[in-house]
Amino acid sequence: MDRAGQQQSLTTAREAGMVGCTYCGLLLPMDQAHCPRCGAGLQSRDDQSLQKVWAWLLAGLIAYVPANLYPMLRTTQMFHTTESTIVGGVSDLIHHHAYGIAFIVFFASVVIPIGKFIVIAYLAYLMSRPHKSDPHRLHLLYEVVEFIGRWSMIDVFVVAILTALVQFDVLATINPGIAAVCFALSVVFTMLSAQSFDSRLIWDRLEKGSFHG
Amino acid sequence: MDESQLATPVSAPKRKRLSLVWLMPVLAVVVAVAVVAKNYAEKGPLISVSFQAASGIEKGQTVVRFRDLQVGIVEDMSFAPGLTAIEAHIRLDKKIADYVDESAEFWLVEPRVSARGVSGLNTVLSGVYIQGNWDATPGEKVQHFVARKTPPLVTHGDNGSVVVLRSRGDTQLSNGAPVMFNGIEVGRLGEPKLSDTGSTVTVEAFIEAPHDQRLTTNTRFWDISGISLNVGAGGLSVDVESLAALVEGGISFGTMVAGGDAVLPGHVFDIYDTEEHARENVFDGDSAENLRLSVLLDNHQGGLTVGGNVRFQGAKVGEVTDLNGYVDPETRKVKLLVEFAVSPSKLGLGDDSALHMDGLKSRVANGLRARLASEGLLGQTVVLELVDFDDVAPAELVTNVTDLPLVPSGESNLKDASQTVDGLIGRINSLPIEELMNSAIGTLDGITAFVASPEAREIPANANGLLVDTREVIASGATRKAIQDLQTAASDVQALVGRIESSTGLDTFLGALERSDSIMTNIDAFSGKLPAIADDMEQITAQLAALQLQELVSDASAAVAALSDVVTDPSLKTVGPDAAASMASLQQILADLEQSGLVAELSAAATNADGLLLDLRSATADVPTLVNDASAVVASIKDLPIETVVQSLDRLLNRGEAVLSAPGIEDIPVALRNTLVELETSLTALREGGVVDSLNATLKSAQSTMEAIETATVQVPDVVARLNRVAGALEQTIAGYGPESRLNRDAQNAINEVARAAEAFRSLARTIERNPNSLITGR
Repeated sequence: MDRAGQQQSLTTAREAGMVGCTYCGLLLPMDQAHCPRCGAGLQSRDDQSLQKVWAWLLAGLIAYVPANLYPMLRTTQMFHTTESTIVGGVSDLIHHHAYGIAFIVFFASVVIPIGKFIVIAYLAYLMSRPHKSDPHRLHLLYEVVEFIGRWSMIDVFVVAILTALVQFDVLATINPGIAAVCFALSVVFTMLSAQSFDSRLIWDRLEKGSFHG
Repeated sequence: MDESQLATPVSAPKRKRLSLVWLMPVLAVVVAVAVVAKNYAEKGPLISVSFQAASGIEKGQTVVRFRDLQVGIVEDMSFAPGLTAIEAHIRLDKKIADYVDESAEFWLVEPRVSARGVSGLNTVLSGVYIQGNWDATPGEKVQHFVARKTPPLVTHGDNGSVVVLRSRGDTQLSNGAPVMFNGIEVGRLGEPKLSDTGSTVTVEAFIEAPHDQRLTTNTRFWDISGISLNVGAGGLSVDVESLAALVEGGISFGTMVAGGDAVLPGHVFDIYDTEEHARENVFDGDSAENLRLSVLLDNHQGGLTVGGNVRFQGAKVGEVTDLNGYVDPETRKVKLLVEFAVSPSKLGLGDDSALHMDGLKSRVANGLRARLASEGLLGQTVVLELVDFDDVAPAELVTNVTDLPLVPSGESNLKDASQTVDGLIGRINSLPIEELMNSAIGTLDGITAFVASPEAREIPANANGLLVDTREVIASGATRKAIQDLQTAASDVQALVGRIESSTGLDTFLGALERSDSIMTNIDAFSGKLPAIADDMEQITAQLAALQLQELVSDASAAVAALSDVVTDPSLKTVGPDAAASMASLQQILADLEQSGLVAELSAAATNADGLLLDLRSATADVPTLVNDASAVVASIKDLPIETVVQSLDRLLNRGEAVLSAPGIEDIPVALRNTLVELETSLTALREGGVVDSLNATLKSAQSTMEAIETATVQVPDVVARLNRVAGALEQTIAGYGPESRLNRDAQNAINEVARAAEAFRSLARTIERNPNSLITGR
């Protein structure tokens, strides 16, 4: 690997006996427990990172189950109340030939959260054992997950806006269902999970050159 | 390992510690588990209800309500095995689940628009819902239910009674139709059901409390559906109980007679067509207790209908409830199976229902049979009759051949009836109705012709003419003139006598009396003859008395009308001059007497005249008697029964009225007219006829008498003295006829009477004139 060969010559902070503050970026010698500038705790590597990732991920998964089973929206139109779950809503939209919106809702509410679960779980899994994956690609994956994870909240925003706008009593009323809360929780948990992931772990393998021997 | 060589942060020993973040998933799991557990704990049982069709039921949408509170929701819909029904799987609330036992029933509430209003309107927008109904006692749980097609008549919590109404089937009843009491809706009908035989319709009726307390065994129900149209003397009346009753049919009830027993739920009442019919049958007893029997008839000729009467000894004891064909399994003959219900009490079977069948069996063994009979005047209605036969083949009540106990049949009684009808019709045919009608028409025509005949119209005119004539006669100047003339005549006579008095003859006579003594002797000698003369005079006065004065006066009164003619008669006028002439001759006689010296004799004679005068006076004493006689005559005239005549005339008229209504009436106008014409002619005859002539003759004879007197005085101068006396007496007599005299009064009275009679006649005539038909109808 070209890149791996190139990077082999790089010296990491840990090799140099230094630790970088993750909050203010101050480089300090490793013997200090707290950053003298910002007061944050100093860790060369977060040895509890994977634990946190798994824990948040599990909580997010648990929250994601009712988010899909329970109705997201309670739409009341002329005495007629419709409760729709996320997937039900998507199928309704497809039924009404609103393919674009259906795709967006489906992407934001189903693809992204599930993709996030898978990606985070994959990263965390790789970090706990030897692997031969390219750290660059892993890092890109992590960046994408972190960036795109917040867009999952688009569903919750839609529900919140609709609920605020459509309140015409008998004529038409939209109320959030229990799934909205669960889904929001699920998104928050997965975001926390992604944040808990210490991306420096990706590169430790590179330093060790474990896949080269 | 490489890691041990690397410098690690101070916090490195914490590596094995479990992160606090693990609390989050644990918390999430705990919350989830708690929610799930709570949900599960609150979840009621799942039941399934079969519906004919889903008709608007949606899973997750359609709810189950009890007393309009949601107690469950349809979780799923599926087909029953064999696609025979729709199964709705309903999740019930745990709170209510215990009560959903065998008593539970479910039905679908849909929007319903009927004549009684709109119900279930809320389901139009919200969709249908399932109404549940169960009692308030928990029971064993049941998983599967079959939904009702219609709401139940009584839902739990409704207070009231359910009774069964039975109708002959021609009443239009529908589910939910109102039950009215005095125009107020107090209940409703359930679903009408046909009986097994199809002849009757039974329907349950729910009467709300407290109105169900009004139901007794004497309560009668009747049909109020439709429009009641009544045309009578009071005009046209259209009655509609209520719009709902008009469309859906309705039932009203009333308790006609107090004192009935309270009814138990499920009591069977009959529905009558009209309230009148219901009232008529109020004493019919309770139809529920009726014995239901049947009879097989093999010679039925038609006419018997369902609802026909069943009679026993002439009284109605029940009704025919059904007619069916029946094939005798042995003879293969088709017979008519008549089912009927009879009131056991009216058959004399007592009140104990347990003994009815036994009593009936013994009655049948003793000869009770059912047969066809006819009723009505012409035998037009066929009824079933129960008869006790004395000599009949033994039979018994058969209970195993047909559904109902079979009463043996007897010989039909229809033939006699039709024969009677034939005879009756024949007798009616032979009635001379046409002749009767013709004579009636003739009589009526005759009456019409009489009433319309010109003669009948002429009657009043003729009567009027007659009365006018009579009035004319009475009120004519002639009559009045007659009286005046009579007075004049009297005054003439007076003047005559006065002249006689004032004549010198008396003085001369006195002088002569002084002078002639010698004559006296002659006169004495002559006076010897005087008694004879006095006798003659007496005879004359007697004759005068015997003169038919009565007749004369009656003639006069009868001929009042002709009096004028009499008075104006020229002959009467001649009397005066004649009398004057006779007086002149008298004077001449006296002068002659003077000259003749007879006076002396007379004077002498006068001395002796006292006795003569006495004789004369005694003779003239008869004159008052005469006057009395005349007055008696007048009185008798007065007493003449004119009033009676008038009354009889009145009676006659009354009788005429009576006669007018009698047959032969057409001839009366003619006869009456003829009579009137005759009456007129007789009046005319009275005016012109012989009575006047006879009076004339009488007066003429009086005149001739005067003339005779004149001649007598010429021939017998001696008589003059006595004649003088006679004249005095005559004066007295005539004075009796003076204005104040009784005779005159009586005559006037008589005339007044006549006038009154005429007045009465006139008023009668006026009455007839004003009201001609009073002749016919009476006053």
